[in-house]
Amino acid sequence: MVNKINKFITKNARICYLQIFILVLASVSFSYLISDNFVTAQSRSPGCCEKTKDGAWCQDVSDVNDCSEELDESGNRYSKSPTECSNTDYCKLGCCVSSQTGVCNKNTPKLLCSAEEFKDNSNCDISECQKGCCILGDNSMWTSEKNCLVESGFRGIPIDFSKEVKSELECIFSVEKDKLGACVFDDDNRGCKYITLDECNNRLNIRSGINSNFFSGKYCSLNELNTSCSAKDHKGCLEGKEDVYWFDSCNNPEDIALDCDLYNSNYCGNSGSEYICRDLSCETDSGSRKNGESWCSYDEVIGNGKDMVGSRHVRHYCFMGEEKIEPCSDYRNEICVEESIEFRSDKISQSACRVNNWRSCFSYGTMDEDEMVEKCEKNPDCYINDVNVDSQFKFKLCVPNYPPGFELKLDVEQIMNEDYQSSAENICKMGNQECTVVEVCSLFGGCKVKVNKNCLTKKFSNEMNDFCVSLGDCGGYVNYNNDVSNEGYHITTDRSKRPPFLTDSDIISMKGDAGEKPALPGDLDFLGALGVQENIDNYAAVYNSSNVLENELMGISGAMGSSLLVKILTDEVTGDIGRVSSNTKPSVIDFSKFTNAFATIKAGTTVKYKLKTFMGAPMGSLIGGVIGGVIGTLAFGLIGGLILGLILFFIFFQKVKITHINYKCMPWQAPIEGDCEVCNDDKFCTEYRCSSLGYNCELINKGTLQEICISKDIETSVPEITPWEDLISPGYSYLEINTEGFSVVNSTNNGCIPAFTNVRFGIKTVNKEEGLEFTQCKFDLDASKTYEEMVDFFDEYHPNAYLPYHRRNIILPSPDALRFQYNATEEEIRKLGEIKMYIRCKNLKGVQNLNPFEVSVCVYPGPDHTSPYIVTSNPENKGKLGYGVDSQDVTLFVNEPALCKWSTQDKGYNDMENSIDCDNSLENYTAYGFKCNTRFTGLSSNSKFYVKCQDLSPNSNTMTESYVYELFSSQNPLKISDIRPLLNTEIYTGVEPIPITLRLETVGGSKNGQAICEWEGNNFGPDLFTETDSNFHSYEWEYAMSGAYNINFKCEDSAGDEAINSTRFSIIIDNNYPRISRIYNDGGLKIITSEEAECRYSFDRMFDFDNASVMTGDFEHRAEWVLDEYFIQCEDIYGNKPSTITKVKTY
Amino acid sequence: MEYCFFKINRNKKSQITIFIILALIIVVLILLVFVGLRPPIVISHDEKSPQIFIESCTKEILEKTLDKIRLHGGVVDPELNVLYGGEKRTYLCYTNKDYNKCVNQKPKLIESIEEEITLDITNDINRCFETLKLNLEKSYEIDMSGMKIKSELKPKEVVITINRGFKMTKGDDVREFDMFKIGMIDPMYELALVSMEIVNQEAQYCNFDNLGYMIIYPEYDISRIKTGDSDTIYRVGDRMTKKDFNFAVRSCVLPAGI
Repeated sequence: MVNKINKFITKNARICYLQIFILVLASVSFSYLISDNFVTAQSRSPGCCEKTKDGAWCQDVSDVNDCSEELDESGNRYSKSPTECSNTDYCKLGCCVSSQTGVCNKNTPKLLCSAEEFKDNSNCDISECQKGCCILGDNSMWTSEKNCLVESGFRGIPIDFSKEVKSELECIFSVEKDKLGACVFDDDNRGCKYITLDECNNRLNIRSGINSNFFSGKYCSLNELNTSCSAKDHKGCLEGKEDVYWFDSCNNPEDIALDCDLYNSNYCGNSGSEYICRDLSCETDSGSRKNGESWCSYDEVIGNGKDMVGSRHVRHYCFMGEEKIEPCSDYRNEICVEESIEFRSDKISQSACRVNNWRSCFSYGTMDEDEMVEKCEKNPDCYINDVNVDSQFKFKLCVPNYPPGFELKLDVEQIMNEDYQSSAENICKMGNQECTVVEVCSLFGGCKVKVNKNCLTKKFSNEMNDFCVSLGDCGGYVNYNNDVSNEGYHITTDRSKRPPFLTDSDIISMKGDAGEKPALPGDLDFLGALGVQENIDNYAAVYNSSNVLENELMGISGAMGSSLLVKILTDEVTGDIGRVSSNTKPSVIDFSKFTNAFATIKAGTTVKYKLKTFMGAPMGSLIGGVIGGVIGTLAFGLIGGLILGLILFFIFFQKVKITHINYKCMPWQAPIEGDCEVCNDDKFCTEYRCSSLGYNCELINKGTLQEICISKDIETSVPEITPWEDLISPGYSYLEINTEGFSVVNSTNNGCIPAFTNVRFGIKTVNKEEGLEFTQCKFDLDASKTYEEMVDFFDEYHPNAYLPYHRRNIILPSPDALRFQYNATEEEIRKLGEIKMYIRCKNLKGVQNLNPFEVSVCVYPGPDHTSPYIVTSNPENKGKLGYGVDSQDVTLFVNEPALCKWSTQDKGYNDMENSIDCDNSLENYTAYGFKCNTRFTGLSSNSKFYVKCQDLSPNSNTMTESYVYELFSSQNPLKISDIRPLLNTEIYTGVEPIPITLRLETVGGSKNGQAICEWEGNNFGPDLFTETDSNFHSYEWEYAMSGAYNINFKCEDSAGDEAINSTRFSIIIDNNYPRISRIYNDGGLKIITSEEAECRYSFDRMFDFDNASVMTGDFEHRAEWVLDEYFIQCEDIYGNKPSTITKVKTY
Repeated sequence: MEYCFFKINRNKKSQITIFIILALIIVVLILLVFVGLRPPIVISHDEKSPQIFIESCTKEILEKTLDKIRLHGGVVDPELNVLYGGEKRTYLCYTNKDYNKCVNQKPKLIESIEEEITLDITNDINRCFETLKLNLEKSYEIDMSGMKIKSELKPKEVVITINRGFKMTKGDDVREFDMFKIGMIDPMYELALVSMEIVNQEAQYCNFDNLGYMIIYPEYDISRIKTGDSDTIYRVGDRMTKKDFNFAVRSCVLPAGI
């Protein structure tokens, strides 16, 4: 049958196609191989620095040599530990409660705080830091009780602190403050101040009794007070107040002269000598905006994966009559989301820069299609890219709606690192895909494409490029200045046919499919799709609360963000500060969707972890990472299944030609010479934006006032190619080096390289002065091809990057091994063994080397005397299997076409009892070799298997030594040995929500307890533990509310063994303060409290709990008997104490 | 009665010339006053009130120190900082790890600023005393003891307390001072409190919504800029005094790519 097919192909063409196929195959294969190094081993020693060389405290570093070598104040060297800072004592994070100011400081290292001030709760969720409303005369402040005491002390007034006020809004706008009144001084002038009673007492030094000089609610100018102040002397503004006030002649405020309204865009201000309600609205490019409104602007198009390279989302807001801009995080790690509401026939927009959850989109790729689509559609940061080129080449994948940006320039020093690939390269290559086109030929009717016809048309180029662009700054696309770059993708073929490349207009027209503006904030479904914040919604269901996060946000200064304006306006009030409703229930506005809280970052972290886990896995890399995995599965499903079936059908009945079309998705490349000035037109030019404009653009004077994106002259000359002397696999060398080319040879005899052996070599491009010349290189087997026509990029690691160094791996099959498969003649075998690659490199100005540079490699043509060998296996050799597993399917990868057998005894090939099924077709050759599948049985009684293979060459070379493959079943099942919180634990707390840490310890299984664990329960989760993949697992809940919890855990080890367990615990809130039930004289003052408490007393009406005297006892409290007025307050162990002070008179 | 002036310059032409010169001088002086080119301020050292001299001298020094501290985020010479707008901005909260929350670098900011002020002004205030002593020594015998300075941030003011014995003796006239207390109106306390709130939120939530905060507290003008290197630069301004406090935060950094 093969003979018949071959008749349709000329001999020379056949050899040429085969050579191209082999080289292209090697290239594609090795892009997978190098992804093994996505998680690169660090030779440095990571650890924790008490202080870094930069001066930062308590940082986890990748190398402890970055720790400061200075001496501390005591003359000791700063500490460093070979562990994470969280495991050290000195850098343990907690809450530092300042003894001087009472301010609570979150996430503070222990060493920066005194022992007395340091509390073991990094979020300061402790009673001391619980915020309440502090009344400071006619003002109020949302702060802790201790800080309230300090603030009151500054003003000389007694503390007035209330924990009953539950929100900052209520405290600032609605709580009744101390009444103001006229405080008349008994001096000759009858001076007067309009202040509070406490302030008056303080001024007049009255510590007790009635203040007859204070007239509550009365202005100083009142005639009956007979002061020197006359009424309505002038108008003016009061600090922090929106209205225009009258002032008396003593400069005391009186009535409101003009009623201004901050939330309706007017505020007290002066216009020349007159005080008026100043208009605070802003006239902007997008029309008139109200005070407090915020909105988004973009670089032309956004969404549907069409955000342009270098683009940045920008948030604008109008406040106090001034428009301000806040660019969101660069590289589109943040997007600007906006929503408008109708209010009194006006539209008010609110916006926020929020985390772009593009990472989540990729993580859905590991799910089955239905689940992936469901999750993807819920997440406004993702969309389904439906690639439908032909009936046998179609797939759906969840990709970023707002694709991320990448660092656009490679660091030459980094690329000298053997296996370095940038994040951009790793992500873009997820878009690599192969389409197999099948042509059926007949003797009289010529050839007709029967399968995947459209893969030879522009439809393929268009759809694959659209897919590639949606992954990030990849493929052929435009920058934010609309400059087209077509160098981010390549299409290769192993035959002469291939789809056309895209034109500039094709690329520009892609923008037409962009999404709508502005980007939407999403809803709770979206947060649910992130996994982590799903909990928030569930909390609401469980605790009958509208939204726990919102309630939490209500208590945080400013965290409500732009939604606050809308809330105030729609909260059944007129919008006047003084009249904001005390009902601050967030019933209308969903604050949470505008938040940029840690949960969204955490979602990114989890995804990163998942991606790295998959990409770092030995076999994960084989299928090219998560996305590649999905596509790989799809492609394999189609090509390996249906298409292979079709091919076999056609081969059986007719004659076929198979063409592999490979789309290579690579990082987007900036135009060589762009208009760098464009970057300086806006106020947020960054390195990313600048470099996206052109290769010539560079941001200089960073951080200074002279920061500017400039155009640098690109000096080039005709590139000359030389071997990269420092880079060649051991045992091989460069030979016959001249200006026209070189050979790669076996060092031992300067001869050919052995078949099926990986040899790495490289080229360096220099200019006339022997300086480095930055170039992009391609190769072909035909010297007459132009640069554009050449088959593929030479550099496998950074294919389309302009660099002075380029490297490539070659792994060539034995021609002799292909003799029978392709019925090759001696001449063909000889030609197959002599490969000449012609390389052309072009520099940044497009200048190429004058003649194609020839690299010759010969593979030992035969006869083949080397026996085959096993490259690797899946599961890997000496792998662990689950507890009780008796058989295992195994794939062995053999370096050349061969037949293999196995036995439980080490014996000769022919004596081995069990055959292995090897797929020896070149089409199905993988990165690791040819696949041989078998099932090893009897694992309970035997763990060692001997494998031998015999190649298909005429010599039938056979392995003399067996490949010993071992599999170990786990001796013990995987178990969850410890769970925290412990079963039936009751956690008492004074405040809610509180942070709770779920902890697990696992033992047994394949790797002594090492496992990956997840949790779910109370309608939360499932979610992976944040710290996992070891024996110890932890997960921190930021907002645990009171109630009963039933949490289930599932852990899985590397062998797939699972362990499940659960815990039940309750969080009980004690927010009742201890009540004094009895007070009497029992040889001293004795009081009895309703619960265990600490009681303190003082004889000063300016009672300060911290400085008061402690009474003895827990329930019964005693103090000495003195004839005086006692001021008493009791506090329970959770910090609850009444807001009032109990007065006891003993006289 | 004849003035010496006329005795020397009887010539009419000379007199006119002198009048013209005088007129020109007056015009120039008036112009100087109007265009704001005032002559350099000379601190008066009222011999009877060293308190006034020290207060005036201290305020001038303090103003400069506070300006530096405001610009650099709570320290005079920042160690851990990022260059932005040509100035070094101290990281009040910092992490070098991607995706991680920042670690509070100056938990007790108010106390730290107080120490920083004390450190920075001590030598200059000592020079104020030395100058005062030099001037007074012409008339008095001066005896000065060691100096201890305390700086306090309070609502709307910064208070400097200088504990130093200063004795002036001129015959039987003996005057002694042991403490100089200087208060200067400045919003440093409030700006530091707001900055600590920002740091707390960045350390817990990786975010601070300045607009939301300003809607509740319109007396502050807070702006923030995210740089291309993922640092957030904050400027916390007091609308009334137009003074601002500038610092940087590096928290929850999302890298370019994964």
